[in-house]
Amino acid sequence: MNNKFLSTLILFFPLFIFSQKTITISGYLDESETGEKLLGGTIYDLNSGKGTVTNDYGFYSLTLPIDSVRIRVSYIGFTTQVFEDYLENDIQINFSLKNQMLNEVEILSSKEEFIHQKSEMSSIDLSMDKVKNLPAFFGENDIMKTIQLLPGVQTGSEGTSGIYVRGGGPDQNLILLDGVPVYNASHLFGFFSVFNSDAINSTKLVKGGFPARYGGRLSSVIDIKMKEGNMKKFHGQGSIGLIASKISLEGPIIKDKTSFIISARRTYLDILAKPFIAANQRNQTSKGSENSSSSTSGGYYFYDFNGKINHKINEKHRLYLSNYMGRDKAYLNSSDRYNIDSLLVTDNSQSELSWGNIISALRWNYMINNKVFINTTLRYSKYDFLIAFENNSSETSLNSNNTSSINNNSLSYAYLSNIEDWSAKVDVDWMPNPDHLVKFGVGDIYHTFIPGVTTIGFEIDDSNTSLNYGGKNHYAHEVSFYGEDDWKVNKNLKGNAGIHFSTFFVGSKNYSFLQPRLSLRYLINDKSSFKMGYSKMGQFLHLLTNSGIGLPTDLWVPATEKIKPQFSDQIAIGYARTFKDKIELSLEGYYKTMNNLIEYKDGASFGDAQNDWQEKVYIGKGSSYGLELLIEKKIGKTTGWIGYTLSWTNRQFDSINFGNTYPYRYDRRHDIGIAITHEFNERINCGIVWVYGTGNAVTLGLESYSSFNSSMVGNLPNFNLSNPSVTTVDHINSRNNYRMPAYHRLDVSVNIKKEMKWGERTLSFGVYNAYSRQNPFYLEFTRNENGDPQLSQFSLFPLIPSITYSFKF
Amino acid sequence: MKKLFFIIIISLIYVSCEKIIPFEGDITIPKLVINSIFESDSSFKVHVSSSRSVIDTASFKNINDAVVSIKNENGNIIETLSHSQNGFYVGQKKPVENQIYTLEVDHLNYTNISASDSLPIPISINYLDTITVIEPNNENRLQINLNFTDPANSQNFYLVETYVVRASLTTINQDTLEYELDTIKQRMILTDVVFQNNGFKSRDEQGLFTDLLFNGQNKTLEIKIPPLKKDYVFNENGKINSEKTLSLTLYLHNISKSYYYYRTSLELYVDASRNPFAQPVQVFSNINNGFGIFAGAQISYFVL
Repeated sequence: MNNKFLSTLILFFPLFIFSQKTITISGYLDESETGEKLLGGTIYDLNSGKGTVTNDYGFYSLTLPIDSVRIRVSYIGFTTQVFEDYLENDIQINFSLKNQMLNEVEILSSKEEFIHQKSEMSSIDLSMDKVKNLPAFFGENDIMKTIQLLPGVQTGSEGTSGIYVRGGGPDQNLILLDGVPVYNASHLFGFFSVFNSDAINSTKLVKGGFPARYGGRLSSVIDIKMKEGNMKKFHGQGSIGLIASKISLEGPIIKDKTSFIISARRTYLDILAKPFIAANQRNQTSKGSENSSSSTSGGYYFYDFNGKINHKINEKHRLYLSNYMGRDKAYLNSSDRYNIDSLLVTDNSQSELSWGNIISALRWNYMINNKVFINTTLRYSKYDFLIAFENNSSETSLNSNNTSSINNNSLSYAYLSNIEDWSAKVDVDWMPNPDHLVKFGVGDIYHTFIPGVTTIGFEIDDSNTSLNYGGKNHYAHEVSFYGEDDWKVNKNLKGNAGIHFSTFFVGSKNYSFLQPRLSLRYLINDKSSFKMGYSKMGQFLHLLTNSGIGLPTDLWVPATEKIKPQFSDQIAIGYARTFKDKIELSLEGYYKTMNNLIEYKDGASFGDAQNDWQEKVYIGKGSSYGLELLIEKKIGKTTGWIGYTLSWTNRQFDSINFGNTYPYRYDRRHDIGIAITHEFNERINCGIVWVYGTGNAVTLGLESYSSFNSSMVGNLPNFNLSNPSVTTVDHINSRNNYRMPAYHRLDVSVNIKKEMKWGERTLSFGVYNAYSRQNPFYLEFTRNENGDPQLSQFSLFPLIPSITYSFKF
Repeated sequence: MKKLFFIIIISLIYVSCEKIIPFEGDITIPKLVINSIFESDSSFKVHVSSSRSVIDTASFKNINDAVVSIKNENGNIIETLSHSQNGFYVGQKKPVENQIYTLEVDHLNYTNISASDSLPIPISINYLDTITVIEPNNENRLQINLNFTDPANSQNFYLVETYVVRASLTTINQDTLEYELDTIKQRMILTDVVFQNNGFKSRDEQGLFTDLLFNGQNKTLEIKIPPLKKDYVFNENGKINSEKTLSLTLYLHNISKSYYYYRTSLELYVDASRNPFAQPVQVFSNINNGFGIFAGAQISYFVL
């Protein structure tokens, strides 16, 4: 007991040694034009050499000895500001910086914290300005597609926005939108993400060395913050593209006190296709008989909506209410009417495939004093997926004596799965002195899982029958606590150490994980540093997926009495260097093990609704290791990065592949992502993206043989010695035993801006897959006209040009 | 499922394209393929064929000139089988239960193969009765209750199948033009919990199960048979066609572990090949250096 007390005292002693003869400067940092908070901005006292950075809400606190101060406030892309004074008492100062990009073409260097100075590793901040200048698929800027270009992050299949980080699955990424988990971040079967770039303020990717405040997933955190809305003036922006248009409006409700932002986006392929379908319909009808008619309509669309209100109650209290809702829907409706003898038959069918997310967050920021900041959040997140089919048919007598319906039949089918979370969390930031930034918090998530329920209904005349079967609902509580300290030990050594504890109550079972986290940075000299990190991560959710193409059919399911939660251990070491304050280099090696992964059994799929999902999975483990290189230039006319990953990723399940280790589908030996933008002048810029990846590992039967069907014993009746019934089996010697051809692609874009009386418009021309590489989507053995077998590769997207008209005012 | 697949395919078809690419895997050397189940009432019967590379244009080849021998547990050859026809090799000796038999097949042009398995013990049937039950939808079903004793202290694997024999007769003026007997697999309704084997659900055409839930105990297996195909007589210009069911036969096999794995994986393989979303299936084989199955099965059958 005494030892524990002594250890605690030693651990926290450095937090108190500055408690005398100091003053604290605290406040917020925002953008002068909009009032938008600047996250991660640097507040640095040039006299004492002490500094800090703003937190996720733009708040900072810097405690210094009583003396004259010379505070430099900086943020990349913004004009640096210096504040000088002699301070004897605590003071609250809110800084506002001017965006240089508003009126200058060349982005000057800013004294931000360089990569070699940061204690965190395996972490990358993405500016939305970069994302918007890069080429985009169908002209739709997409933050998830940009993240795919970073080292350690791999794409799934062609065009999809799913990501695979350091050998992990798509379920192992904690995608947060304003702190709320997003369960399915895909529109259009994954070709677009659900995030509207106009509504996003900042994005941070963490793939290793996780700070203790993050938990619940094994492989990465993608922390996306929405804009808060312009506090000063009303503004709008939008775009009209080939397949979607979007608009975003923001402004003050009460100037400098309450602001709003709303963004909406919708595709219009279905609307554009309507006249063609109608013309075809008329053509078909004219060919039919006089008494028959037939109509068909179908299409696909997605939409999403983001809204946020930000209210400053006073200097200490702020409220934020943010909401996202989006949905994809593919539908097919048909109606037939025809005569058979004296009967009029009508037949109507509707089928639908739809999925979507609803996300809400209510946040309350409370600055208790100039060193303690509390954020309390109430959250709601729901993802649902539906396949529905309904058919109604009736027969009516045309006999003049009897015109009543003779037969009325209906059949309905619905397959539904969803996951719904209600949660609350409290996060505290405590900045006792410039050498420590302590964060701790607690949270609880109440999960409801409906993992695949099928409902079938029949109505024959007036007799109704209804059947329900499928997975059972699961209810669970996920409670977590964490504490971490970002500690500057001395001039060279800085670290972030913490503990994340989470516990999961499901049914009569309780699982707990104590997850230590540590990352260290040691400055070798003023330009380079050595880094290392260790993270243990626990995850109580699983994603059942077998398509490999990120379909919405993937089921979110919890750890249960039968299925244990996932956990991982990851170590990483790295070297970081900054060249001439312009170019940053990061080289990292990592090794990660993952346990209690689940995979569908051989032959199983989501459609087999009669079995509970727990009966359809195997439990196994995985490992991944590799090297990642990132060279990034953030400032100047030409900016961008080159990322390279060399990695190995494997899976091992006792009941798959006869227990032998096999390569993960996205085991990619080499992965290269190059993203470069260049400003020719203040009107014209261009972007280039080139990606290369080793082909995915897929499963193909490489040898064939004849296997006798069922009964093959002599005295069984259907055994025919001269002509036995056989099945041709394509033998699979190992799971994921064949490599697809390599994937590579070049995208190019040019953005031409023009100042208008009302604001600014931009014309963006883009080419996706500029040299029209036929990249593999899937492989299959087919037969040519002579019946000879051949290997066919199916590709999705050849060269796709795009043009987008954007405006802002 | 088909609707979903259709919608996805329609969505992608506008932009997808296909090209033939060179196969860059290893061209596999053909191996010997064995299809052989042995049981107590029959002599050994082995079918030998060869595999081919998946891109090979040739058809499967029956092997007619192999040396096929059966060895006992001591490694002594008990019989060398003779080639009969179309790759079938037959012997004279009948296997006995709980003996391990090893099959060896030698051929000049192929890697020699071997496989071992034993014949399970016969099933001790206690009783079998049938009743006709009326389902809620007014459908008459034949319910078969089969009680048997599972051997204790060993893991046992079972397969249940039913067949009907149908006779078709064509006559003109009482002269028989055609008379045919046809044996057809009969669908069953398998609701017993034993058919839910650790996530693998046996199909209605065949019931595969283990004694996991009743090891060493008496087990009453309940099997329902949907209405059999109706008998009919049809007169077409003086030509009378008639067809009727002569018998229904229930087969209960006590099968070896290898045969159970082979049949379950083959069943999953066939199902998965029709489902674009299903995980690929590796079909089990106990043939060293080759493919296929060499396994034992004890059979009990009942004509109902």
